[in-house]
Amino acid sequence: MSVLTSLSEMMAQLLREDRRRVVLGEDARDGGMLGLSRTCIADGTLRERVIATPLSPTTAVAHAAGLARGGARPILVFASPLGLLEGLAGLREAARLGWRTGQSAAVPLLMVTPSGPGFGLGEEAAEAIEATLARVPGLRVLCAGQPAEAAAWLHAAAQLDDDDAVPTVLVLPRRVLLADTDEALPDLGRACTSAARIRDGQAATVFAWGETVQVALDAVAHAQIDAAVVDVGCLAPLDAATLVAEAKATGKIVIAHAGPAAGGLGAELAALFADQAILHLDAPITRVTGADAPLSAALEAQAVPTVARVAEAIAHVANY
Amino acid sequence: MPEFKLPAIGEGVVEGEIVRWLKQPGDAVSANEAIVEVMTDKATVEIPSPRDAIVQEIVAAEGTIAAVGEVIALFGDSAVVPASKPTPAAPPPAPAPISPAAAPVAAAPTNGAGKVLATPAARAHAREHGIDLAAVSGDRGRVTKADVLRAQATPTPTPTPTPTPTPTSAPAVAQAPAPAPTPVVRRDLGAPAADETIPFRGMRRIIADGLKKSYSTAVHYTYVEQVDVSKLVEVRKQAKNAAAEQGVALSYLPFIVKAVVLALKRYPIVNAELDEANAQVIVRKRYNIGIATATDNGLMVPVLHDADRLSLLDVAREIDRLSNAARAMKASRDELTGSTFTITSLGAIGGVLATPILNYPEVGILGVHAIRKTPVVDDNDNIVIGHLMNLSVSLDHRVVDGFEGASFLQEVRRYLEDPTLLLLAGI
Repeated sequence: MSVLTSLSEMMAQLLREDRRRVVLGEDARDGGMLGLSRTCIADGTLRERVIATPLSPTTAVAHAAGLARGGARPILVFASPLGLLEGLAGLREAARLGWRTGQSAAVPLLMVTPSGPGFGLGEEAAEAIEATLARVPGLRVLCAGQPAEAAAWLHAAAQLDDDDAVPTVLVLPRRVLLADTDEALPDLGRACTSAARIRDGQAATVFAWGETVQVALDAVAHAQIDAAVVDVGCLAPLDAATLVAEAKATGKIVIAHAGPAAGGLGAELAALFADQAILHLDAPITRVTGADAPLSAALEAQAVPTVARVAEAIAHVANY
Repeated sequence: MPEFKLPAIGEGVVEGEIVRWLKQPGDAVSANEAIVEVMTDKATVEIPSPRDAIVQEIVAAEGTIAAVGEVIALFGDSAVVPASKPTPAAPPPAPAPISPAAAPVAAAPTNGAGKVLATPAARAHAREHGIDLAAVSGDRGRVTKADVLRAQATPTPTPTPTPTPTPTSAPAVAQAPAPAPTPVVRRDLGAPAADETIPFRGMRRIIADGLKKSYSTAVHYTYVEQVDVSKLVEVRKQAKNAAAEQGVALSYLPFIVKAVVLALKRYPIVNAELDEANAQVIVRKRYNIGIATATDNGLMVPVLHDADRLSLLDVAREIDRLSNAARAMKASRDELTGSTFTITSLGAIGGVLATPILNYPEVGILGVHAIRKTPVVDDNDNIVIGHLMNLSVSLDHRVVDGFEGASFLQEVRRYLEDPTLLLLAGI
């Protein structure tokens, strides 16, 4: 099964689970540019809860946030992270609406966006949208990593109950979207706001998220070093307690992520570890990231670190 | 793999001691950047890298003597640290096994100012378990937690405590109620400190080698004379102020240098060396006076070249400059070689007499002692206060017989007792 299919089916399941849920997006009535509303459209009982939005991201975000305030559970699907950047003004307002009203106004709004390379687009595909989003106060930013968990991420991210109605962006890396999965897990098996160790190891710890999670797993196998891999998963707010505990466990840290190193979330993690795990650090905190430069379509793969580079970094810290 | 050989450092230099590596394996070094400190004779020189490279391996450890042209390090080809270079065919090695067999031998790497280079985790673990990081070897240029754990697993032998002396009981002799001897009680000051080990290398070894050669080769004898420098004290007292106006702190040493040079001119055999290989005595026609100087790193002998051509004040300036350079380890090789005669003076702690060891292959060395006020019988048999100073001259009897040696020192004495003669000689 393709991950896109699993997501489309999960979207329909979400609408069936809760009648308050609605799906919004450009071309959503036609199944959406990613096809995420295709199953909903095919189901006559769900079709009326799929809403097409105009080509104005700020309007779309404002519309969805209004629906959320009005009692609905909107899921706004973007075709590209550029939509979130264009709609940043609306996004920022939606994110701080709860704070602005003294937390009395819950905003159970979920936004879903693809990110990173994979579609041969270049340009924005080399950026790391999550680093920009993570700096919006009040916003929760999640990022799906392993393909088998993609649908489970969507399900978990949509659980915006009244006591946890935080405006949320779920980032779906395009490489993850294009992957196939033998078994789409229905449930994440952990809180989506937690970081999780997905591979045990003693010699080093690799922190990754999104499409780089698989790169990290492959790199550990390639390096033949007993390194742990942690899927950071929730990028804002960071699960500092788990992350620091994992960093302390080996003291030899590699942070791998897509997009530029400069101003990236890898720097945020490194600062967190320097701050809260300093006495456990046993090697330089080493970041492996995408290129610090705009990339053409032909070079967009350079936005994600390679297995060889991550393996090199693992060996460097493990043998430091 | 490119080899880094000890380059020719200077004319006549055939070997040098590796004093300190400024780069460790894995470090990148750029062309003309200092990579190692090498000591020759008594000058320490920094050897630059001939090109951009990564230090792969250090072949000549610190403290070893390497010949010019000998490979002292290996350079890597790439800009990748070897330990972290993954090869797709052969994956990088697993972390070095923690084996107690790999007993730490090398000292912990430091930042050059004595602070051990250790990771925070290594520091925290060492602090928690009371381990001295300086005693932990870090063979990759740093101490990691694994190094501390390894050191912890290999306990260092604890010094056996000295047995506390127990008071000996009185012998059981019934008929002799002798009083029991008072037991000797040592105050309890804790366990005695362990012996300190100072590496015998670098300057210390070079000094030792030189002295050993001198003492075992030359046939030393020492001749001592008392010199009444009362007039010189007066002259110097007056000249001191005039010299100060020119920014020179005028000591007695420049006067002594001048007197020695004049005496050497009269007795040239003292300004000579024995060239045994060619069965000849070489009488030097330059008057290069070595000035033995105590430095933090040991005895150094900067050389006052052509002292006969320098004015008294310039001699003072040069002595000042050279001794400062020597103390700062900044003296060049030229400034530390080429002496033909040496003066050793300890100033205020100069004592009464000494047996100076020749600065081989020179045949004469003059020891200068403290000037002390002493009752002196003058020409009219009156007891007056004189300023007396002793001079000890050591000579190589193979070249300089007692008569010449004594005559030389009497000539020095003549100049120092009557500074007018110095004046007339045109200092």
